[in-house]
Amino acid sequence: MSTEVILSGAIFIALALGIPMVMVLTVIFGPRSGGAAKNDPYESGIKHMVGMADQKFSVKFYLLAILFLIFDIEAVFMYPWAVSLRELGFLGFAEMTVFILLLLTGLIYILKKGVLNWR
Amino acid sequence: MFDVMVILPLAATGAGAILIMLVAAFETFRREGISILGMGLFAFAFFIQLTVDNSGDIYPFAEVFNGMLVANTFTKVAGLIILACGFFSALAAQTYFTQNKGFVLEFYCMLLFAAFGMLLLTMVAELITLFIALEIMSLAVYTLVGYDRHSVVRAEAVLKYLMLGAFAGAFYVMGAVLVYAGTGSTSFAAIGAVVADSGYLSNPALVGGSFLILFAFLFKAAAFPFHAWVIDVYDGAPLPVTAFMATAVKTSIFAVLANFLLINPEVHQGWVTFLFYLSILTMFAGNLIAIGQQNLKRMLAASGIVHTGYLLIALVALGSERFSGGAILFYLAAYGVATLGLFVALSYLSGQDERRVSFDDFRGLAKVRPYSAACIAIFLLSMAGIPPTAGFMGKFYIIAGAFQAGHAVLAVLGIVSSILSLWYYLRLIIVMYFREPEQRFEVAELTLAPLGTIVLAVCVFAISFYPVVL
Repeated sequence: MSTEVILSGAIFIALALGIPMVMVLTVIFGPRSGGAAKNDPYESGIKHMVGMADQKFSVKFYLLAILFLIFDIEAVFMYPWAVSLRELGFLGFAEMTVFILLLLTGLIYILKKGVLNWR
Repeated sequence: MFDVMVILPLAATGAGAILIMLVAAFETFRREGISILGMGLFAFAFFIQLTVDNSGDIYPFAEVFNGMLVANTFTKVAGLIILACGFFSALAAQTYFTQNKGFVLEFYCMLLFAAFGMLLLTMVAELITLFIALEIMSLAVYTLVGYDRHSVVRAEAVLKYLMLGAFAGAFYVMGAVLVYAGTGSTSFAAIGAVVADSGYLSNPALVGGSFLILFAFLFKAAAFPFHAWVIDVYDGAPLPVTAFMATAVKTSIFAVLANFLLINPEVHQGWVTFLFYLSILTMFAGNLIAIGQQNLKRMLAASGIVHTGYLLIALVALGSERFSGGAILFYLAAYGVATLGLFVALSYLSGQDERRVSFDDFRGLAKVRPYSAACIAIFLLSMAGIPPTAGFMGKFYIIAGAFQAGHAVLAVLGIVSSILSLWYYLRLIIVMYFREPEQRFEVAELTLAPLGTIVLAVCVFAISFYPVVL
């Protein structure tokens, strides 16, 4: 048996034992806190959504999350573009400028509409 | 510089949409101003599209877009129809919202975004670009149907449309994946090359994939097994949006469907029998539904299914040795003019809060408003296919094409369906001309929409003189 196989086997065993062990240790040694606030169901900016499914709730958080996603994707696009900027040349630069300007107009729109005011 | 010209209408529509979006955010204009701006932008894009000279296949910015878009005479004319539909829908909206609640400044922005997606859809030559264009169009149209959150009817319509439309989108993506699995490419040209190389029916992934893609298109075009949503959605949407959906969406979907089937003659040949039966079922299902309707909007939705059936006949006759794209576009233009004319007329006749919608509400219209009634009669006769209207010539080209392609049965059934459709088109004419008005038929005095109605009525005759080379 080669050393690679032995080593990777050892790593697998260490992981298989280590991760459950950490989980057990946190239960034993970790600090405890309790109280009503902690036991409340909480999800995406909404506190205490219990009961019928057709009740009204605020969508502010989701709105912000979607807006974040848009600009997140802008950033994701910019990495490969920045890496291959020299090959893309002026046309690539112009395309990215158009893309960023389009998103900028979107940002102006949501700012004017007051979407970012957390009321 | 030529490449720029080809996508300039597209850019103008997109930039116009963003302009209106910003104008709406800063509230520089009120309703009247933004209506004029929206109509002006559609007219502007229309005239740019008119001046673009693209004979033969042009791949704009081939090295940047990698041949993902293609422009030719077919896409040019389809784009012209879409932009004209957009213009008259905007005109109908301008009138409609003087008498109806629920206007938001972003209305025209969404209209332009939808038109942008449609223009892109007619030009695509690649499956992923196609999906993006389809979704740009669909998302904008969903918004247009259901932006009025306080109306229960709109909410019902948008829920049905969104759910079923999302299913169709999922079918499309699955189909695109299978086509990619079968051919190793998403570009139409490369798929066509693979088909020419190794055959179509011997490639199960490609056949299954194109089946699912056809599903998605047929759903959007409201062909027979996928037609159930169309009545409720058309009825629930605001009137100008219904007009836009019935005409522009159908135009873009049939343009892209023809482009897809023409990837290779073998692809089209593989679906001829399927489309043959589908067109018969679509025509007669639509007719049977339309005969039972009491509501004008629902009747027009059902008659839209019938017209989809006719366009499917044109698709059956598509491949055989010549391109019957001319017949498809002519029919779409003829149908678009008549439908838009009716909706523009309805936009001022339907009154406050879409009060007048059933057949009986238009009793004795000819006595009260003779010109409007005459225009409506012209539109209805054109849709039924009575000479010398554009609708007659459109049906003539389609049925002649079916004969030439050797589908005599289809041609005969097309004529039978056309006779059947007289039942519900003539019903409105009878109600308008031969019944006495019960109460006073008060209509707001507006100038723009009646003018548009008359222009479209003239177009019904003008288009019929335009020759199409079969």
